[in-house]
Amino acid sequence: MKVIGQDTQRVDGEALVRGNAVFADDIKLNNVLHVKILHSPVAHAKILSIDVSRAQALEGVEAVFTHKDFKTHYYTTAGQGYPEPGPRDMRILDSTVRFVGDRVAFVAAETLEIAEEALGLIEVEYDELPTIFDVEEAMTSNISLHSESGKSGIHDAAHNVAAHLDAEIGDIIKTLESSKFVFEGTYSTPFVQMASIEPHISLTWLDENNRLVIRTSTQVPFHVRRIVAEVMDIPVSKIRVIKPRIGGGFGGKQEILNEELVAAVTLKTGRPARIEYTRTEELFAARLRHPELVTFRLGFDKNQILTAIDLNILENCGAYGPHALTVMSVTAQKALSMYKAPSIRVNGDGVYTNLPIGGAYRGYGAPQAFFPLESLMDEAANAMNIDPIELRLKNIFKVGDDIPIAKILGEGREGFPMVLYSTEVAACLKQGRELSGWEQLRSEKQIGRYRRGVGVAVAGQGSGIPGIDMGAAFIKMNEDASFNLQVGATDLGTGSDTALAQIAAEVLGVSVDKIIVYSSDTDMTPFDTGAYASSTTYISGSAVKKAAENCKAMILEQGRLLLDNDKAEIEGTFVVGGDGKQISFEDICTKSFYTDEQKQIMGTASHMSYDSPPPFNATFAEVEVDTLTGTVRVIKIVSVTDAGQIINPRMAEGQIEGGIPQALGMTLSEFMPFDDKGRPINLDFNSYHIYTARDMPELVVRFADSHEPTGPYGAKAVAEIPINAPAPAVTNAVYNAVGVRIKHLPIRPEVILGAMSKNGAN
Amino acid sequence: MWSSIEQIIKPDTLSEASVLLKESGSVLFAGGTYLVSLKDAGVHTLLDINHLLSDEIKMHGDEIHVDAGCTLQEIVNFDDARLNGAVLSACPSKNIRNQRTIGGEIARMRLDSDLLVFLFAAKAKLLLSHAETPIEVSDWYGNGIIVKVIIPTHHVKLERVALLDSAPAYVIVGYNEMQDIISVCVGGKISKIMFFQTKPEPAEADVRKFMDEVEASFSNDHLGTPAYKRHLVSSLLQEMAVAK
Repeated sequence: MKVIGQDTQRVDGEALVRGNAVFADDIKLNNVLHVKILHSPVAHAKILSIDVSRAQALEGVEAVFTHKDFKTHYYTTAGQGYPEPGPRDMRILDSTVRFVGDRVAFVAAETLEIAEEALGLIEVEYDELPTIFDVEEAMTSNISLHSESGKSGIHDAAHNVAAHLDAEIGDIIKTLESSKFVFEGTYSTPFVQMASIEPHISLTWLDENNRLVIRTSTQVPFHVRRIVAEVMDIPVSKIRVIKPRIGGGFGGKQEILNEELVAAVTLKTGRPARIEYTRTEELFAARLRHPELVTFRLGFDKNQILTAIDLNILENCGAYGPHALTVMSVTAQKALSMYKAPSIRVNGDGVYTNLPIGGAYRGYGAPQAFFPLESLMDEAANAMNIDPIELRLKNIFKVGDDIPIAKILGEGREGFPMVLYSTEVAACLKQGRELSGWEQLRSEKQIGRYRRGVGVAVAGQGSGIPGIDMGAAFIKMNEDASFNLQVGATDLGTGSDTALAQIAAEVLGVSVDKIIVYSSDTDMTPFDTGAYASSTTYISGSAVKKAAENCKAMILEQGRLLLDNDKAEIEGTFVVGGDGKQISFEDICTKSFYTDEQKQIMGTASHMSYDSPPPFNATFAEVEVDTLTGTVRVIKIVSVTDAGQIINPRMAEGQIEGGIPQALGMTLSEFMPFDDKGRPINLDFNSYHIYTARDMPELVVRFADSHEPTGPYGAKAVAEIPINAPAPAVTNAVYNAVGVRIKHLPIRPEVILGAMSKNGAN
Repeated sequence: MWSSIEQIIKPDTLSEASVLLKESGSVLFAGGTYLVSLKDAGVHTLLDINHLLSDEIKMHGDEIHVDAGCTLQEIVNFDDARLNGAVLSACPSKNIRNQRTIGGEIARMRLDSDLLVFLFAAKAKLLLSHAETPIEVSDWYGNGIIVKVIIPTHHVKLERVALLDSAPAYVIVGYNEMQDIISVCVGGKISKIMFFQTKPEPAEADVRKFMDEVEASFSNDHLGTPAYKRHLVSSLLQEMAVAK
């Protein structure tokens, strides 16, 4: 292959490094209104009265919106899957607020400062209601957060259960009873925020035909169009959504957030509108990773082969449940797709509380699965006196294995049969063992204030959502043998436009600079479900490959016509007749445009898949624990990934290097505490600590030699997989260093000191 | 800029600035920083004193004299190992160090500033615009405009406990053992800077009283209990004392 597997320059790279106007907010709209939201200061209340007269009277205020301005219509901000599998439990503005940060009203004004001032003039009388912050309490409480009629898709509103899942294969009870070893542990993962460089930002205006244009930092332009059309009660044909470059999404832009608000302003006033979340708003009024309380029971036979995996999930959805069912489904599905066990069972509840809303975040339920699973595997290895790597090698799924959970548990509905066509997780483990210095570090006795340890964890993910994700592509040829590639797929900073261009270039036999990519514009590009679930390379990439092949077939057909030779074939960028005659791609297209056999050479295709081949990863962490303070520093991460054929190594490496610090933040530093009223405490980066360049450990990133037969050129996904294993690798390393087993993230240094004191380790 | 701010005034002299500063709703503005600790909607006037502050840093005998307008990066460039660690921990970003001044760092009284803890422990002195003789930083309560910081000879050791190297520390301990006096300063996520001076071999009761006050000044939060933070202060002080 000439282009696949090469570090080509990013198609958007030059514009980005030159600081060109590429992002949503990089355009200047005339006469724009600035929109600000009044967020609820209380966690649960009925709005008794809301007086906007003073705000409305403020000079420069154009409009103030409250729940009285919208008819009661419940929808979900999560668009994936249609009909959406999640609850329809949210209004654009409601007369009840359910968390600190919920929308109370919004203002459109001539300037941001006036809009902010107007918020302070809105007088709201709240009737505060009892609050629930704990998931277990929520299920037994007599307080129901979503008891209103008209809501749909809620599993058990009376008990605040937004979503439920259960599945069983084999007889888990009997199998556990007959197992030689049984291990059980309960673990929790916290709220964490995506912390994209670019916050949520949306702009709207009416075009010359009075159609609503939404320019927004989103991962799902087509879902934005569909949902805004529904909420605003206007036809889809009246809306165009444009996704420019995005400064990171990580799942946080996988649902609509404020697009419907600015749409409402523009539709009411006829004027352009703009909203941009501040960093503080991102931290409490956007979306967060769902905290989960997860209990695993693992059964093993006398040969340390898994007999049973029993999984119980309690997911905290926060105040609304846009991704309640699907995130929990992924937790279950990924946890039960790593190791082979004859008996498996899962039971899960996604529960409402008066806390911020859980949403999609890179990994989407998988980090919540692998932290407990891989921690308990480590415990099991220690207890059974077997090397943790060997225990994993004994039990992982192999090529040709059926993964039974995939059939009975899809994402929000029944799944599809799944056979593993490629896995190199064993190779990942073996390579990581060498690169991490595993043997030496494990055998070193640790004494003194600073003690080092090494830990390992493995993880899997998916490549798109089987039976749900669909991408389409359109390619047309130009006279200079360049090609316009139009895709609905959404590049959110990942470089997917470049990867898709590489796939097209490889098929067409041209260089990447001959592929002009235009993506994510609902008027101009074909449909795509969006950038999530690690789907773009696998799903949209396959659509691009097919479209390019169709285009190439048309080039050949046209070349044969022009050469009047049915046997002619493509060689490089020529159609060659074998009779000494040949015609270049340029000439074929030029003649086709202007003189002979006139037509547009083009190709189009769609792709969906019932397969979702898992990429795999083995992560090794070396840590240093300060036994005087309890703090942990990660010294080195070795991350070896099986992502099939790598399309662009440099970009793939960037994905891995980007996922690791997010995982380390969840493990060590990203604390999101709330006070007893449900008010968030850490509302800026001075108190909510994400990993920075200064904090990064040494990173060793490698890819296994792998080929996935169902993927474009053998590719699987790479976007989410790196975030799943670092947390358990780090906590397993902490155990190796000081003998303390961490079960709740983020790691609290005081907990380490306390446990060490109990163990006599210090 | 805060939406409440209506005007920016450039006083001709520091004396004029001092007078204007007494008016409600006025704050100083220097080095890109509003010299108040929290955003305040009542602030309507910025007093830009950038042009009135010098930014020289030099040795004066054994002392380092730092003009209040010196940016933190200029201090780093001065390349005094004693100061650099504190400055770099207080402000890891070079871009921000190019804006923040030492005067502003003190005026904002950020309790989790490694540099502030360092200056307390070093028994640094401040020369104020309205005064002829400097006062110790521990004796300054926010009145007057700082024009110079004088850092005397010292042996300050600084330890910080943070979740990340780039994160503000939740416990910072400064320890300065001179021939006839030991000074200790504790900062971090704390209600006030804790400062303690004693002769070598302090009385146990005095130490216990100080540690009780330290513990009381920490809150019980996600970073740990006050008892844990007391333990950190105590352990770190012992380490620093032993390692003298």
